[in-house]
Amino acid sequence: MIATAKIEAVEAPNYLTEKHGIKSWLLTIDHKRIALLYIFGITGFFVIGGVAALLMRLELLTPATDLVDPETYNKLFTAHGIVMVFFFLVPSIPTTLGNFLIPLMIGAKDLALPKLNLASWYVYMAGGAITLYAIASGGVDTGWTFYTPFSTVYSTTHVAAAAIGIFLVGFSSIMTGLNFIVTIHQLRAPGMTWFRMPLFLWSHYATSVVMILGTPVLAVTLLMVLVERVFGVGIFSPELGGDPVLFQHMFWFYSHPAVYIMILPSMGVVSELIAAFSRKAVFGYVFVAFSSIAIAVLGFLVWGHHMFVAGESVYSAMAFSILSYTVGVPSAIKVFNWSATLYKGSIAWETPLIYAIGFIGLFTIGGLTGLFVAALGIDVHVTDTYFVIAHFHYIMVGGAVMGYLGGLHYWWPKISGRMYPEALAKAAALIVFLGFNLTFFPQFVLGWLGMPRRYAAYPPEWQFLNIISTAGATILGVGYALPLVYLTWSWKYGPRAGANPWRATGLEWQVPSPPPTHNFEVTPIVTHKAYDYAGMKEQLGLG
Amino acid sequence: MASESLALREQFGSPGHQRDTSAVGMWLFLATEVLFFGGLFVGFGVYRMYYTQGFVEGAREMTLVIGSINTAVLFTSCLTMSLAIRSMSQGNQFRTYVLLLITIGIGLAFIALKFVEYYFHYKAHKVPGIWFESSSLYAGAEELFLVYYFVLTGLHVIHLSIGIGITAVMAVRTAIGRFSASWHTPLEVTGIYWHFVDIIWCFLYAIFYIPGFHK
Amino acid sequence: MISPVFYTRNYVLAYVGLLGLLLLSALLAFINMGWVNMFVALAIAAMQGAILALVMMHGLFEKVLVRLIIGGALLWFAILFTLTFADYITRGWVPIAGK
Repeated sequence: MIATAKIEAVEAPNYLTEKHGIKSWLLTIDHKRIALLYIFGITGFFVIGGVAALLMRLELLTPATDLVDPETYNKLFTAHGIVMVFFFLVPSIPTTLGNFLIPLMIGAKDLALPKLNLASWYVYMAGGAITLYAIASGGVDTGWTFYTPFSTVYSTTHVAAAAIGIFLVGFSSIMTGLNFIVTIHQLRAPGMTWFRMPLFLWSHYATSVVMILGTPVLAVTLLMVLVERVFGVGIFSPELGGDPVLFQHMFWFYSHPAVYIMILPSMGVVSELIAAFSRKAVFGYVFVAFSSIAIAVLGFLVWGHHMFVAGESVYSAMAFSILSYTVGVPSAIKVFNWSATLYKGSIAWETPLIYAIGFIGLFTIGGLTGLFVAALGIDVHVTDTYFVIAHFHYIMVGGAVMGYLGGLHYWWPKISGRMYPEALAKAAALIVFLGFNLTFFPQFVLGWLGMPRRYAAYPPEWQFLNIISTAGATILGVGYALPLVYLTWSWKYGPRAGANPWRATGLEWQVPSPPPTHNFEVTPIVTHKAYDYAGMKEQLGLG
Repeated sequence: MASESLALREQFGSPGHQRDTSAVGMWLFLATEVLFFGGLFVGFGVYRMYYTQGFVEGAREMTLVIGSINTAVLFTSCLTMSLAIRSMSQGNQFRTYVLLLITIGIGLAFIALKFVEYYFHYKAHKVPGIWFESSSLYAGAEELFLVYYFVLTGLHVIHLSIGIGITAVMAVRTAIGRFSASWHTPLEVTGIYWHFVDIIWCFLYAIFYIPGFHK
Repeated sequence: MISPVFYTRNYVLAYVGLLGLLLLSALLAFINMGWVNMFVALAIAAMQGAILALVMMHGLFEKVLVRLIIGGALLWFAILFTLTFADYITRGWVPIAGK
């Protein structure tokens, strides 16, 4: 308590120091504290999913199934998929950076529905606990996609528990999305018109719309899987005349838009980083804003591209294929606009920018390979091979995770009041970039050569590429472990940061670091457009 | 206590602003419910297209009288709920309280009738997964129809029960004077939810009961 | 915007309308019209839903955002329905097994 009094003499109370004790954290309705609660959960699940991946890659060092038996391998890739998709990627940026920053960026004192926000965390943790129980008590072997009738009739693993856990975390997702939509509509400060909002908000709005409209279908699909499994009735299995492809339609109706839930927030982060570290407004702001909405909408029209070889009709497949090409357009627009923003900008080579530029390159590769798999003919060759795995990992890891790390570093001074160690952070970013490419680029080649996914064994001629991939994964693991260590270290020992260490535009930089509990003493009135570096030179202390 | 619930939460500019926000939040939640039930309707639609005859036979297992009465019962509860909210907006606390209690009673009557129906199905051995027998040529499709019937009406009953629970809480809060003519947003929002549950029932009646009417 | 006070008469009229539609759908159901039966039943359900949403839930009087939300939800359901059915309806159109 003496140490606390000393700090209070030096600085005004902020959201971290204002109240103490475990109850003030577990019963908080402050969006900033809830964001930290989520960071704790998200990081834990990332580690669990990462361990599963590590074990898989260790198994794949040799062509034979020697480290684990095939059933265990099935459980490993299922655990990796379920944990990474539902408990890490879908919630990551929205519940951490989104929760923390959205009220600050729009000039509000909190989200519209703070208690709902806290409830969403408890639902998330409950879902996580149940799923971890399923994994720890023997695992699930259906793959994160739960295809029927294996998952409903023939699998002897804890499918029901996993389904319940995911069902719950889906509701957490809906609560978060609902809160964000209501907040962005209702709580913008005076003068903060839609087209003066930072692009981070547009991305999160689009993400929230996808969460609201897609997740309920996943929920009801998992419910049907539960009913079929528990009561032994054939909704999705052929005994009673059920259609396994119907399950796939319903599952992918959510799970395809889910990948946009996973990437849109990261794109929002990248917009912020590019603008801040080029000291320029994002080129084509309106186009980037509407691209977020377009991705959200078009993303709902393409789910059948996961079912080209599953038995859907040819005409339906053709329609989904053409629609899948259209969804690449708004993503490309964003990449062009970010590049144009960097051009002739005043570039500052900070760690967040390294992650952002890494994002642009890797996301582009991932996106282009998406066009490959969207083509019916090529997909017949590469579907269910490592080509698809490399494609989506380039976007999810090379894209979404790098955006998350970049954003975490960029806003770390605001969240913690401290700066991270710069040299170490840059080194970690480069290690991540190197490790990532070593891990996943060989997988494009392996997939093209024909190596199937979800197999623990493979022909010996592919061992070399698999060894490179595993080596890369180890390096990537080191790259992820470094921020975990130095960010935690900097919480207590890092140099203190001022309100606006990056001299960036945005309302979040107008409040102290860390912010006070109620964010703004007086509701700000917004008169500048977004990223008005040109018009705000004096205020930001730029020459 | 009344002033605590009337108090403007710090993030809102005015009571109207706060009320609007609650309404938007509830409508967004109902949008998720449309997709939730919608997923089941789509599955039902696909199977009905493939197995029309079997599904019609399944519909013949429905007790049309109870189904139709239940529909009228729910409509009545919607009327009483709307009148309850209207009473509150006129400041008539007692009338609101009574109308809310009537609404709850009618809701419970619906559930009672529903369980009577479920019991008839059980007696007739038409409960998939628990006790199902059929001598029809289309037994598989009939069972599939009944699976959708039990899941959809079951979900509807769960939603209705939650609605009854929330309405009961609202009735208590009305009785102790938490609401006023100018502020009764939780009550309005409860009403929106209640009516939505009835909309779902309208469609359940159409797909499960109507096909069984004709020979 | 504090919620406006509605006349009892509107609610009672809506109620009568709902019951009337119920009676209509029950009567029409006795006539065997083949596939038209389901179409009629759903159309009547939609009308009942519209009365509930627009009058009893005050959908007609809410702000634009709320009406956009209603429209959006219906549109998205339509997307789910249409694209799923597009698969099932077009199966077997190409003389290749399994397509």
